[in-house]
Amino acid sequence: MRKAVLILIFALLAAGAASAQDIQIITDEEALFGSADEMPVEGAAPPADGKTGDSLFSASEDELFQDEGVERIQSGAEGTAVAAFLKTDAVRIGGTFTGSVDSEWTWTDPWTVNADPLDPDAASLPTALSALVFFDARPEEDYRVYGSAKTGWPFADADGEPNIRVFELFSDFNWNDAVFLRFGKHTVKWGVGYFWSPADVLNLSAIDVEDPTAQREGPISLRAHFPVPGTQTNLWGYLLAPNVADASALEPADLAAAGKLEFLVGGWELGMGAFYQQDRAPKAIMTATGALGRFNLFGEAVLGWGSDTNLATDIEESASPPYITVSLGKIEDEPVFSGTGGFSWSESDWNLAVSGQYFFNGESYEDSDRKTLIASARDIQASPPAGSDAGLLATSIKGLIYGSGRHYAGLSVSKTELWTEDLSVSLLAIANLSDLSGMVAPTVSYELFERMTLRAGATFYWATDLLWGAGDDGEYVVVAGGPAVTLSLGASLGGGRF
Amino acid sequence: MNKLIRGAAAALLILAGLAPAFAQDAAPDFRKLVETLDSIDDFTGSDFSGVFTIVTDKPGKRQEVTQVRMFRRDSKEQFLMLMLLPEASKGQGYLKEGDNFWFYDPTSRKFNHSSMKEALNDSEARNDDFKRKKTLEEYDIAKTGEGMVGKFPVWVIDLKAKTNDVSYDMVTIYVRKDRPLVLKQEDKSVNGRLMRTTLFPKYADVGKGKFFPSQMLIVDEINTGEKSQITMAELSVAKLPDKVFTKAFLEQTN
Repeated sequence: MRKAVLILIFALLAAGAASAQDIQIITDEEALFGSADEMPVEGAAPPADGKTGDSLFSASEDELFQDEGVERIQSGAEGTAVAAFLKTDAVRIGGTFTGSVDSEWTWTDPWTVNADPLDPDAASLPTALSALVFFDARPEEDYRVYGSAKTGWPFADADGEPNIRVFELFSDFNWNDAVFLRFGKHTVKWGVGYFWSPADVLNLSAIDVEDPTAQREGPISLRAHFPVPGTQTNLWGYLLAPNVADASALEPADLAAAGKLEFLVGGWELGMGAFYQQDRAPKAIMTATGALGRFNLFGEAVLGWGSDTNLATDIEESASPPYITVSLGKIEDEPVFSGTGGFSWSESDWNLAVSGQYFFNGESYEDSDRKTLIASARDIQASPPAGSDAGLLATSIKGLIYGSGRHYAGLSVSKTELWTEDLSVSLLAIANLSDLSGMVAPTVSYELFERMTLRAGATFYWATDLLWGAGDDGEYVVVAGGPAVTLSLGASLGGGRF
Repeated sequence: MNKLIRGAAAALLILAGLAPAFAQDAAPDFRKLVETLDSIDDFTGSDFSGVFTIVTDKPGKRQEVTQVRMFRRDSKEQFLMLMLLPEASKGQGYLKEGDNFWFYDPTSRKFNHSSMKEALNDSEARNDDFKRKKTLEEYDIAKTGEGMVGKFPVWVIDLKAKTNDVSYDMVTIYVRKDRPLVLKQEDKSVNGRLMRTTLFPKYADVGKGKFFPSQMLIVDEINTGEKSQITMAELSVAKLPDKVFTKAFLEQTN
């Protein structure tokens, strides 16, 4: 018995070693095609000895085909290739692990003579240790259940609540292979923008401009997808549950509804859709993607009847924290337009990729209103109420100015394999064109070895008072606390998919 | 991942040949033979699916293994490719119909559409990699002859580029005399320097008189030691459900 167990363990280890072993690639022509001295195949010139290949006809058909380098393949019945692929006996478990440590030093106003390059105003140690774990079960060809959960360090909040949350949980099923349904909590595909997507009114989180390709959290919804047979026209319909803390308070009337039609016009894919939810501004959207030469282009247009965005209408000082009283209002009973357009371009021979986008945010402030409100806030800051907290006031002003522009632009440039295969550089630039402020973040990274990458980067916040620039009132310098510079050194450690 | 996609795309192009058997004793009409080789990359009238495994060796690097599952319907210019390996790229996929491509990224659950003529969005795979070849529009036949590849008698055809839009200025193909099956291809620079050799030791007979390479070996003649092996499995020309060539299927699989 013991011997049998040892044999079994040995066999398993041996099997493991074999599967981990490299595959030997044989490129020797004689080994692959045989030698000219061997029996020639049909059509060959007679051998030098003048003998004919009688043995050719004594070989079995299988041997003959094998000799000729042709294998017979038995083709399955209709759809078998798909059925075998979609149904699995085992549940697949996988995920992603992210690990990184960065050291950051920030100088809030390094461009003055008093600035000390050796004495940063702030230092921090952003550390990422997170994971997403998923399961993917396909008990039937037409039925799938998928779920994923996220966790990250710190693993509990201040109240001791564990930092674990369900990110997606849904099932896929269909009606007659014609209407494909997904019910549950899942990311919604809606807009086409890269840095900004005003058309995407469904997902719970906005695009992170510093990580635009990251998966976004979606709401609980029932999605019906109808690919029109024989075309690449797609009809999507959604019923969405609002994201509320107390689900028991929801009523049927709280559900939101959205629909979208996607269709091709030549090399362009156009999308037209609408969104409706009680007590929210209804929206009509249009999306377009296509190409012009080597540029991929995309665009979104959104027309809402009113807006759901709260805008400040007046700012006054107050005697109690936060010492500013902001009156809020929404645009109502009038059409509100937002739109965006952008491009991506890549040259694989140069390992170079560029993406750019312009965003018009019609739900934000008119330029004149924004300036008036900022001036009011600055007046309060200049003559603060007695006993007020300067820090709290500054934070309030940051919140007021953040995202207050109507015109934004983003640009991303990345080049891999610079000089060596392991060296990459990238540049991210975001600008508020309404007040001419922005940030520029160049990064250099070097893959030391697989799963360990070192990087160095800087982030420059800038603003100008030239042209229509707001100078010190520019969004990005206000949010950063000044024309700040942040330097960072860090490493990605052991990240990957499993 | 981009390189993997491109490698897979190139493999699909080359491996997708269909070859009706024919006998050829006397010197053939070589233009017609080259046209036949081009036309065998045509699945019109039948669907095609298979799993491609690409193993790449580079000196000083760990061996890379890429696996893709591919579905084709040439009658409608439809194509769907799913990445199976490496694990980091698993679930990514391409859907193509005519000049329109969609790249699906399961991480962001987004479809990226492109109709770019020159290159696929965010990848090194070129649109031309998916197009049917028309060799004689790009190359002239410069010279023909006979030879042997292993034990196989072959026609040797030297091609010379007549446009600048090709990857290699000179190409030599070795075609079996008994069937229009390429056994070997040599890609050369404008001055005749050998850049790449591709060997096709095995073909698959999938029925209906159709054949295509089931094993391919690519040797980089410039970077010594760099070579790749591409093998195909689970080959089928059985009809595929229409849903395969839809966004719904691409999403359903990942």
